[in-house]
Amino acid sequence: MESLLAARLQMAFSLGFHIIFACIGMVMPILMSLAYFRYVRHRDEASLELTKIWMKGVAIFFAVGAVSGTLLSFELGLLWPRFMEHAGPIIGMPFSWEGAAFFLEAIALGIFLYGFGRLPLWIHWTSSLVVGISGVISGVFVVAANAWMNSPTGFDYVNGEFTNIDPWRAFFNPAWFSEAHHMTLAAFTAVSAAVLGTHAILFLLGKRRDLNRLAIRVSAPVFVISALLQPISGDLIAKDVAIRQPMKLAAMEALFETQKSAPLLIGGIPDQKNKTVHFGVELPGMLSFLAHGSLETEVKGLEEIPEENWPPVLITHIAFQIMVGIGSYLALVALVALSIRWRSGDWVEKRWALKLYASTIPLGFIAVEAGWTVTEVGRQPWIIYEIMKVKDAVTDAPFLGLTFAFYLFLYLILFAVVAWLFYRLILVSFLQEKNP
Amino acid sequence: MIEFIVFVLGISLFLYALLAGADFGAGIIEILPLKISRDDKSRIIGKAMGPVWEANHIWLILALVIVFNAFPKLYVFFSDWFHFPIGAFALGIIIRGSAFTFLHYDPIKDGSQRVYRWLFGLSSIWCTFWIGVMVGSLMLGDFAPEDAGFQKYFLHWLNPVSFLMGIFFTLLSLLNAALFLSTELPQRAWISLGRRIVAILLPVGGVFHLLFWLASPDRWKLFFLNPMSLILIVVSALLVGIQLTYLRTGSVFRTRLFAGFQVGLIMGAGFLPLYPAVVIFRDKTFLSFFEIAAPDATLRGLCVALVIGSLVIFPGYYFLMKVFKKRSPEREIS
Repeated sequence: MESLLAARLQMAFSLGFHIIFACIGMVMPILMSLAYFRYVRHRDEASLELTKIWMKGVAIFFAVGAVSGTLLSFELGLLWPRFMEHAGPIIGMPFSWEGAAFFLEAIALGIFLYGFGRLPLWIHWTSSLVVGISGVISGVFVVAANAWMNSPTGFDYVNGEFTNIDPWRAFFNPAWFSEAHHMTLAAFTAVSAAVLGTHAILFLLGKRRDLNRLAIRVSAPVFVISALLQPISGDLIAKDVAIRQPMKLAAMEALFETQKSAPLLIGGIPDQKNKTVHFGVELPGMLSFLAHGSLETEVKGLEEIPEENWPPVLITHIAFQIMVGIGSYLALVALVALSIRWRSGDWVEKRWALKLYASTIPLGFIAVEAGWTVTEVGRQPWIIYEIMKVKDAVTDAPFLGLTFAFYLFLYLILFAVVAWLFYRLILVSFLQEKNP
Repeated sequence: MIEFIVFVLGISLFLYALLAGADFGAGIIEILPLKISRDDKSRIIGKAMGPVWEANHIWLILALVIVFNAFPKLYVFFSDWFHFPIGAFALGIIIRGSAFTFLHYDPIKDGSQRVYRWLFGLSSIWCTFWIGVMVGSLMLGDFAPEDAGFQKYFLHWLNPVSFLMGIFFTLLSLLNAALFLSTELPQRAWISLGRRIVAILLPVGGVFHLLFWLASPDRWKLFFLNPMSLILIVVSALLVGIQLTYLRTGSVFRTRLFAGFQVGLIMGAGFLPLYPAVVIFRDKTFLSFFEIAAPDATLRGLCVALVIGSLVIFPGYYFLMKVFKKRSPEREIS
């Protein structure tokens, strides 16, 4: 396998694996903290039991997220040394803040795990909240580094040299805000949907209905809020991309020619070689409207740049369609859930609704992976947008194909073991009969 | 500013060597036969390491972040020349971190624990070995800026000196863990363990010195015959006597404090002969902290992050240790 491809695949799988655990590490502590808050206020034993069950899940997912994150911090240098040599001093700052937030998260988690019965309840609850907040903050910080790769600022690039470095400007780069809110909401939507769906299935199975009803009550509002906010966030980031990275938008929409009143493409299979799209449905003027707020505005197509600088159109477009499709479905489920809650006063009144919630379990995570595919593949061939190409950043180390195969095998095994452990946690907590 | 950043980097690496070193050693103890039941051993290790093990490894992340922020050329040097040892080490980190968590958080106790325990133990050996290999290669310094291919990626660490350093490091971390757990493990268990470690450590250390001297007498002199290193090594050896006294009296805090001193002194003995250089190449050219530092704006930003981060992290860490030492009316969840 070619070294560049192997390095890209290894990075893609490492990020793809880590992002799932990072999302859970960001959101699950918040849900756990909400459940514990109910116990602290009302002293109901079910809330405490749910908190402890979720806590075990948090510990497992946090640990796997921490070690896969550690691997990523090595991989940046191992696979992309030329990138790190130049980018380190410019964009290292978000990583240092992320490190501090993550450190705080680990300490707070230690306090929470071992603080039962050792701390006053409110202080102990605060530690759970600190785990959640520092997890979200660390995610927001690390997104700044990726945002910088999409909108590099904070330096002058003269004759191939990075000079006049300003790490604060790099940190607060123009893409950070939109990427940060979109990713944070994606994490909240994906994790709360998975929690809601899992407990909906357990409720339908008729096991520990008290606990599952409670879990649904805690996770459903989080899901509804984040899933309904996400389309707004998506609109904001799309408008941002249209201005900053018009060629990424063109690849997302498989728009080969620059057009006024550009259509929004639903579905379709782009044919990059013949610069056309098969089987797509076009909504006239809608892309112009969504990207620039007017049905008439011109949207730039891929023809504006040499073909060698095009992102892979097929992958970017399909990933974008998957992300938008799932985001829309989840928003719809959120609306249904809200209307049921509004009419009946509870989230679990209708069996069909519980089945609907169950359908969302993997969808949020698939959308997160698809979204990152759009961000990363849509930026190709650049590692630093319009400054440095990916092929110029890769290591010249040998055997990268072999290394990739090895890591892939490890990730698959690890994923399977975590899934198995998760099943055992559910089995013990919900499915086995408790002794009286 | 550079001195401050190097100081924090040194502290991070010291705390990583001390705390994660004990953690690695504890992993190895998990699979060693000791005069204590397997379940008791696992419980003791889980209890001693559980609350801090995630935090332990964040010292490494902090060190990494400092290096690629402030000394990107050094980060790239390590990433390039130590591509495979770092890759192997990172692999071990993933396996051992996951195995430790599975061992203590799998809600069903069955044959799986045996697999987790062995994975945790073997990956702990694997990690310490590769750290030692890298340290051995750095001491030997058989690399040059113009290296490429096999010379760059393999030959400078693929030698007996580096491999012996790997074994030496594994034994040192085991000794570190034996000291760390000395008050938790039954006396007969850790004394027997300590004796066995020292019995292997001494000949391994002796052969290492011989091979190192044969391979590169100048390098050997640089590390072991300069006044600063000699003083630090002698003081470290003298501390063993004091430590033995505290071990007999069962003073946990002082035993661990002196173990920390020793780790610091040994690291100082390896680091100070080079300072301000951090890597010296075969042709005597070197990478010095002062010459490869990032621009001032980056260093200033990093200093701000380090100071503010420290104000949050150190009190938090102290609070964590305090909470952990409190007696609990109910058993921990794990």
